[in-house]
Amino acid sequence: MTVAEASVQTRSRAFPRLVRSIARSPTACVGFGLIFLHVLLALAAPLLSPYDPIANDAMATLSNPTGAHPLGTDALGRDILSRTLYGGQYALVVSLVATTLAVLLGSIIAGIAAFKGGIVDDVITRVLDSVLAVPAILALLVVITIFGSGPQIIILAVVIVFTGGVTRIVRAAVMDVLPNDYITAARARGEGMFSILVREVFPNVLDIILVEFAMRASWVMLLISSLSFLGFGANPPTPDWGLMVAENRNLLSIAPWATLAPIVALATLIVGLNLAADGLSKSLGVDRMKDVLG
Amino acid sequence: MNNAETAPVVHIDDLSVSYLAGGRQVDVLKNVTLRVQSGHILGVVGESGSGKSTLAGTLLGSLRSTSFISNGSVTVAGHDVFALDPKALRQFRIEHVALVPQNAGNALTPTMKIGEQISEVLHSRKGDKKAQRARALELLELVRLPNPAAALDRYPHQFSGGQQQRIGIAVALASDPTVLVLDEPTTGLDVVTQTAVLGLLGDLQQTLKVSMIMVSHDLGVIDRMCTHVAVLHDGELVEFGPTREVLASPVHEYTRGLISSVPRIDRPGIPPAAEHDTLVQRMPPAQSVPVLTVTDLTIDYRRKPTPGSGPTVQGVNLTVNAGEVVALVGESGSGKSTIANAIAGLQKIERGSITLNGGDDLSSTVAKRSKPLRQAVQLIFQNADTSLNPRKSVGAAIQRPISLFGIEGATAQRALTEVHLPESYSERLPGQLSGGQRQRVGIARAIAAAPSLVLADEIVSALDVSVQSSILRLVDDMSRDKDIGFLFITHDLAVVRAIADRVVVLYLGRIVEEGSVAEVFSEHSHPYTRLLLECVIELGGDHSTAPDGAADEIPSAPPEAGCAFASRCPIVRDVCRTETPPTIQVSPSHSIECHAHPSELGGASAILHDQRIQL
Repeated sequence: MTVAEASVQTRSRAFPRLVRSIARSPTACVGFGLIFLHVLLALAAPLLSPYDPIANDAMATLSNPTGAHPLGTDALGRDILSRTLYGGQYALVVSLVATTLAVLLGSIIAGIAAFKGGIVDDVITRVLDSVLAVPAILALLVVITIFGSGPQIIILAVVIVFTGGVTRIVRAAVMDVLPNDYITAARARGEGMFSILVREVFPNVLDIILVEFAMRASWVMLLISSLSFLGFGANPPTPDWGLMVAENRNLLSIAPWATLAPIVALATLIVGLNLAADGLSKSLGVDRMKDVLG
Repeated sequence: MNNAETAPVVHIDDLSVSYLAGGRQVDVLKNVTLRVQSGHILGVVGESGSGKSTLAGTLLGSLRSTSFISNGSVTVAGHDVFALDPKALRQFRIEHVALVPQNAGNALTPTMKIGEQISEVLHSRKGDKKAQRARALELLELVRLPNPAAALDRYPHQFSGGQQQRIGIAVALASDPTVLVLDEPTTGLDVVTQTAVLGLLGDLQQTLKVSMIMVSHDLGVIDRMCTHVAVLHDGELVEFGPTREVLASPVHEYTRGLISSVPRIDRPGIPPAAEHDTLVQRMPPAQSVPVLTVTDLTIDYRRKPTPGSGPTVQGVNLTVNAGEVVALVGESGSGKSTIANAIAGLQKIERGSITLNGGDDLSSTVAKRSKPLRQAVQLIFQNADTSLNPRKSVGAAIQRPISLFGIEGATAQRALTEVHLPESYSERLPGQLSGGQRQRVGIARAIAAAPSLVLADEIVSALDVSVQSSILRLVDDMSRDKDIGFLFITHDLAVVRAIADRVVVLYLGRIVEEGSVAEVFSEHSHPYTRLLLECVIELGGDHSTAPDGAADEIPSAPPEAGCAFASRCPIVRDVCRTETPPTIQVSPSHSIECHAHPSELGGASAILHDQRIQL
């Protein structure tokens, strides 16, 4: 069909331009490279790990890096390398799922609020503002205290905490698009709200949503690790970076790699996400300062 | 001008401006050589993309960041502009040149009071607040801003477009420049306001003896204002000389084409768009089968009644027949677009009825209309840039109404052919098309739905004259071939003369006159219509009779009672302020809403042909 062909062509022209523009920026390349490396390591964790990440070994506790344990072991004799690799799986899956849900839900709410306007918009923004007024970590702790812990609960908590921020930024972007004549034309054709949002509005704010996603992903990652560190996230013996830091920080002088390895992993992933978000926003022409300042 | 022998203040020598695109050098300006003598006004004309704004920018030593001077030099008041170091350039801009931008509303800082903005430019009086304020007041008086003392402490948004333009001129004049550069100074203003601002500029030039460079796409404005004219085409200077000579006997074929494309009030018909075209005389449809009937339409934006003002649109009656082009004319704020939105179902109406094809009710908003009704009314917009979704291909944009309404036998390709665009364009994105092509796509999208009524809101006002003519031809073809009724909204009376069969003149949401195009443009018309007609700047017209701008400001809200035009009317009487004017039926098709005696409405109009209507 002609329409399908046309839209494929549209996309195929815009996408290589984006890739080329990212490839030209060294910092963006480093960012995407780091993310790619982390995803690859997490996927290959079962192949690369020399041991089961939760298997104790009473004979080899707190060993320094050796041939058998390249990054040493912790107090229970668990292999640090294996735990760090599997920890990446957990961190990536939980934070990416949580961010995706928050950004999706936030965008839909933003579209409805901006399109309907008036009282609907007022109610939605006031409610989300009140959620935003509560500090993120406090709100997360409240949700976890009520519902208990586990990956699903953490995802739920992140969605509750972050949807408001996403909504606010996407709503502003949608408001910019709505006064355009092509929206008026669609309204005059009698198209419904969702049809207009999906066909006319979201393709024009997709760049902002993408940058928002990359930015939020790094915050979510850090927040989830902080939760685990505080003991509210993953339960032992789950291989989780925040949890590993919490378990091993007292033994830093004896087995430094048990603490350093998850820290390095977390730091590189977050730096990667931040650089990627910056590169993406520059390539897509989204002003991140404006986003941050609201 | 008798000071022609004095040295030129502006010397542009063999100037080329270029930028690099993919390693290739693209010339924006090609070897332009120009002289402007002291006290002259040079008009720079050309279509969009001809490099006229770039040329104006070089006089201020300003280029787009990617452009560079590839050849030649610009000398203004003895300074080689592009040889100046940044500090000297700043001093040069302080002392010698000033710019009046196209849209003064955007050029003024919204959060600064007018007085402060003018003071900012007064470098010689730095630190002396009192002297700055005195000079600012003097400048505002010079540009004839009403109540200048109070204006100093107001913010830009508190002024109308014409007033903002006056303030922009005051800011530019603040430092007594040798050369004043005006970039489309009146584009976007209503005709009456435009006349007033141009009158002001002419007077200022006389008193201050400043040299001006005026960039415009409007040949009428150039003709009225400028002593000399430079015609640019694709970055090349194709013609340069005294305005009257160039416009009366153009040598270059491009100039000839440009002049012949300008629609004129005194010459009915659609002007040629290309070289081999001829003037097309529009023929009204033979039968009158109404597609749209609006009766007693009233629209009110006010939440609660405000004393002293009436509803935005009141008691509007109008009819559009099949195959007919009806022009809805008025200044900005006259309610033209509001009426169109109500017909399109995007605006709730207070009272009255709108019917389609003599029966179907259109008074509800679009959500409550049936599919065939939504299909029957289509819109075309003024701004082709925002009327198409930049992320959707042309084909997808046209296909949407076809699939939504299930039009049989219609395809996006066929719709494109109908608006004279190649079928292959369906795969392009709007960003890859020119303004005129985008407007054609907008028309194709409307026509693809097979409507019986099209609402065309200022669809040619943002286009160059030759493109404008070709779009008008398209509208003419569409109305005849497909029997579509067009409600053609515009503020440009010359365009009305070219395309319309009937005209409805609107003032502050009230119809003041209605009739066939020949009747309305005849000698016998409403005082408001006459004001509009007198303010039209015609190419080759006699500009000495231009009215002064005493009545250039449109009130912000219509009055509660009486005639809306009473506050500006030259023949106003007491009854006008209290009672709704009666309808004077000049002929079966021509009616005027006025309290005056019919004989008073036949005042001589200098630019119109001498054809009296029998009463």
